[in-house]
Formats: sequence, C-alpha cells, structure tokens
Amino acid sequence: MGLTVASWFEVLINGFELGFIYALVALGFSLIYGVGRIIFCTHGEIYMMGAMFCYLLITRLSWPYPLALFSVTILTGIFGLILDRALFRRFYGNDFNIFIVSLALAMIIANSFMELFGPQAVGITEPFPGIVSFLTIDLARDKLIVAVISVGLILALKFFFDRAKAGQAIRAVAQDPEAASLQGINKSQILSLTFFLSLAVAGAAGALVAPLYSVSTSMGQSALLDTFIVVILGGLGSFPGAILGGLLLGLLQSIGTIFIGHFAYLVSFTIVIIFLVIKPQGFFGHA
Amino acid sequence: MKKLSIILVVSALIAALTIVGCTQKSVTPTPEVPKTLKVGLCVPLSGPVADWGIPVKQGLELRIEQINNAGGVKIGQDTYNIELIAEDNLFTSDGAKTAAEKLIYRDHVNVICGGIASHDTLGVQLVTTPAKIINCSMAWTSEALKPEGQPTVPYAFKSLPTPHETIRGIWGYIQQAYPQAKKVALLDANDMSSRYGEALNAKWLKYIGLQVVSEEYYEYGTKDFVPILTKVLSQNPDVIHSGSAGMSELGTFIKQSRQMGYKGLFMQEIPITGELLFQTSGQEAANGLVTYDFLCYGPKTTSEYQDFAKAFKEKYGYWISAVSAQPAFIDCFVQAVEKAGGISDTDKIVGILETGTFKSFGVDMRFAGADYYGRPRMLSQPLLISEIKGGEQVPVGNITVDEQLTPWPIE
Repeated sequence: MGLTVASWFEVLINGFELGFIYALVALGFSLIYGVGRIIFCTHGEIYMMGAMFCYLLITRLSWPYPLALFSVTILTGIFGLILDRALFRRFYGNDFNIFIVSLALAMIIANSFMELFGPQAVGITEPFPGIVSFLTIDLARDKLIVAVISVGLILALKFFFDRAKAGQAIRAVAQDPEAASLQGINKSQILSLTFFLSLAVAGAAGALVAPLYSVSTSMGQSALLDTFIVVILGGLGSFPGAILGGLLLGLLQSIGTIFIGHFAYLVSFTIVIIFLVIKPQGFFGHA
Repeated sequence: MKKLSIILVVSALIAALTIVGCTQKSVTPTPEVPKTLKVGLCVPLSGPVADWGIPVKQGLELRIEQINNAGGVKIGQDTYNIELIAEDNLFTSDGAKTAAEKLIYRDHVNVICGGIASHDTLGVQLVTTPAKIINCSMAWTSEALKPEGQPTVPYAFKSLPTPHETIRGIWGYIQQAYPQAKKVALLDANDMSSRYGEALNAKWLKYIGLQVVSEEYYEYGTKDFVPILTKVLSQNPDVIHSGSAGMSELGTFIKQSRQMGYKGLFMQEIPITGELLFQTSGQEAANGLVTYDFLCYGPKTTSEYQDFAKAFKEKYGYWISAVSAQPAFIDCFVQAVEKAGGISDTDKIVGILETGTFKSFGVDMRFAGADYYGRPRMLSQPLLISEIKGGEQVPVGNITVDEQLTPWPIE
C-alpha cells in the first residue's frame, strides 16, 4: 500500500472524525423514531438546511462561524417545533401517513432550496485554517475542531438524557409511552421537545460540515442514506447505537477506501444487507 | 349494495384503463411537425449531479430567450419561436430513455439536447435514432458518437469536446511550463465517461513519457476525500488529474489535498469558472489548476461570448463557461434549419450540419472529427488553456481546431 504509520493514523483519525458527524445526524433521526416511532425522511434535508443557513449567515450577513452555528441550531430546532405543531401531530398514530408526509416534505424542501439558491455547490471560508501537527501526524485543524464540537454535542445530549428531568421524560416515553403517561408525563409536549432537539441536532450537524466540505442543495439525500446505514448498524432508536453505527461507518469508509477504493461505499451497503439478515435490530436496537 | 358499488367502481376502472390503452395504441409514434420549433432537453435536474444539468438548462433558456427576442427563426416564409421543454433524465440510461420518449412522442420536439454523460446519452439515442430526431449530447466518450457493438447513431452530435481533442494541448502546456512534473495521479468519478477519459489520459501520458503513479475512482456525492487522497498522495504525484470532476468535488478535493500538504498541480478537462470553484476550494488552494476553456475571456475572446457570460451572470447569479456549449449547438442547428428551409427533413439538416460552417458567439464553428468518430459530429471551436495563478484564472495558451483534430500518433 505504501502508506507510512503516520498516514495510517491520519486515516484512522479521519474515520473517527467522520464517524462523529454521522453519529450526530443519526442521533436526531433515532431520537424521533425512539419517541414517536416516526421514520423521519425529512432529516437529511434538515441537515442540508443547517449547512445552507450557516453558509448564508456567514457569507451574506458576515456572522462569525460560532454565532452562525449556534443560530442555525436554534433555528432548525424551532423549525422542528413548528413542523410538529403545524403538521406532524395531525398524523400521530398513523405511521404510514407520517412516513409519506415526511418524504413529501423532504422533496418540497429540497426542490424549494434548489429553486431559491440554485444547484451549484458553494463553500465558506475556513473558520479554522491550518494544520495541527502531532509527532509526524498532520491533521486539518477545521476537521479536528468540528470533531471536538460533535463529541461535545453528543456528550451534552447524553448528559441531558441522563440528568435533566425533561431528558428522563423523553427516555420514559421512548421506553413505554403508556407507563410514562400514567406517571403524568405529557406525551404531546415530549414529542414537541423531541422534534426541537432532533432537528436542532441535524441542523447543527449540517452547520458543522459546512466549513469542511462544499454546501449544496442536493446534500440532504446522501445524508439520509448514510443515516439509514448508521441506524441499521447501531439499532434504530438507540442512543449508543447511533454513536457506534456512526463510528463504524466513518471507519469503514475511511479505512475501506485505502484498501478497495470506491468499493468501500458498496461494502457499507453490503454490510447493511448482512445486518438486516442476521441482526435486523442492529447492535443496540430492540428485537 | 356495498358489493355492487365496489363491482361498479372496479368495472369502471377496467373500462377506463382499456380505453386509455386503446387510445395509446391508436397513437402513431411518429413525431408531428409542430408550429413552434421545439427543443427538448434531457439532462439530470435532480439528485447529486443536478449541478451539471441545471446550468445546461439555464444556458439554453437564456440563448432561446435571446433568439426569440431577436425575432425568432426564419424558416422559409415563416417565423418560428423556439420553445424549450426540459425533462429530468435522473442521470440513468433508463431515465434518459423515458425522458426522450416523453419529449418525442408527447411533446413532439424537433431536436434533443442531452444527456450530459455517456450512459444517459446512450439512453437518449435508443429513442432518437429510430425516431430520426437530431440529438446533441455533452457526453465525454467516443461511444456517444460511435457506440461499440450497437447500431450506428446517424442523428447524434456532440457540443463538448472529449479528452481526445483537449488533453494533448493541456499536457503539452504542462510539460513545457513545468518540466519537473513527471508523476501523475489519476483521480476521477466512477462512471463510464470518467473511466474512458482516464484511460485516454493514461495512454497519452505513457506516450509523452510521464508516469501514472496512481489511478483511483470515487462515487458521486463523495464529500470526504481524505482517505482516497491519503492513498494518492503516498505516491508523491506532481500532478493530480481529474478529467470530469464536478465543481463541488473538484473544489473539495483541491482544498483537502492542500490541507494534507500537497503542493503540486491539478489538471482537468471541463470548462470551469475559477470564481465559482474558489467558493469550495478557496482561492489560494486552487493555484496550479490547469484546464481548458471556451473563448469567453482572454486575448482572443469575442464580445458575443462576453455578452452571453454577462447576461447569464445577471440572470442566474453565477457563470460557468461550459453552459455555452449547448447554446452554441442550438445556434448551429437553427442556422442549418434556416438553410434547409424546413424542419421536417432531418437527413437534409444533418447533411448541412456535417458540411456547413456556422457562427456562434462570434466564433466560426463547424462539426468535425470524421477521422476519429466516423462522421463529422463534434462541434469544434478554438479553445483556451487556462491556469489558476495568484487566485486568478489566467489564459496561458490556445488549442486550435486543427490541433484538436490532428489524428493521434498512437491509435
């Protein structure tokens, strides 16, 4: 292969960096499924919206990146609240209709953004330019910072679910909605909170990748596909499953590319099929 | 009662379907001669390569608007307006075939522009050839004009040069300007057009004494190039060649390879616009990218090319010179139809296109390439070689039509 040890480390770290972003997107998707049993196909487009809003705030309004990231997170979260209140709660209990509505909404958002902002990929000036060198390993500074923020967000969510009352209530509804209701937990409010959190996380993930890669109105589709892979590997509705699935996919793509080039992507799908056959619930999902 | 209602509804449905079926059967699949000159467009308008198809659509929209505003097309005694009808070909061969069927048998178009790569073009040609409809693609392979193992495509033309016409000039410039560059890495999208282009490049590089040290392909939509670049850069290339990379992929891997410490050149063969590329790559990172372009800037540019670029930018907010390829073909097609005195005799129009000289964007253009493609079907015009230097796209050379068409010494 001709790679040095340092190069192998770089590939490995890149896999983890990628994996944390996949995990972040998948966490939001899993959260909505866990609480509302909703296969939320609009998730990829919320990720795209996050990246696009971040681009617009930075390039059109000259906002600094941290402020743009924070605002996008809140904005997409509020969008989640609106979606829940104005649209999705009309369909709760009807899984098929919700699935179709989320699919239709994804198409509406993707095409509207395409019409509004055009098809061309755009990018933002690197907010954290340069390289971080450690021994002989060189890592792009922006990717490293984005990975650290991703891990921070994941830990914050973990803390919220473990310690905060609202987080515990979300877990209770996810585990047994009826028992949670008997405990006085308002499922309707919990679903709204879930939509807020889930879409905020997806939007944040989009804003996080904006300085790393190009931003385009078509990026939501592939994000949704990657999310499906992650949740199938990790287990739909599972918090640790989303993280493990994300890291697995990131490492698989990063290391796999070294050995088998573009076939690494096909291998991801092959593994998904194998999982669906032998372990359909994924690593942490329920049977 | 309920049962009766169901039976009635089902019967009505069956009857309706039968009627529709019979009606469709009775429609003769022969293209009608419309009053308006209809241009069909069959390109990807959704999905990850929509950023190729939509600019092509916008370029044609603008050109057609300009032609109509200038009084339309004079054919015989009549004046025609041009109408553009676009169909999304989903960037698949089957999607392109279906789109072409709709354009020909439902919309009765007179000519089809598209696809944009080889596989979707072959899908279009499955329909245009038997329907005797002229088709002009932007495909990259010789397959689009002389498909191997398939019937000939007598109505097929191309508006964008293939690597066969361009790479000798571009590599010639690189060898002369950067004689120390000896090792080349080929990195391209995983599709038929790109593989064709890379095979042709590898053949030429071997002939001119440059070494191919790596050949890698990535899937469309790839955002993270670090793993593949780690592999590529371990071979210490002096030039990374990516013939058909889309603007976002090219920008992203230029940016990431610079972050990984790569200091060499890039070479690619699709007319781009530096200004747009910089949005993803960053201005400094793109320095050292060598490519070809149409004469829309530089010392030999024409006012018509510049006006079109300006109008496009005003209308759509950006500019990529590749969008002028299909409008140039439409200009030639319109002139051929005017000479033919009608739009119904496809063979006559094909004959005029093959032998005539046309004016588009103030440049003399003709269809050439009979030596390589079997018939003169490649829209040929003088080209520019450009390089990004100091954050600017700088013209550094030219490729004349004769240079593009000189037979290869190694075929």
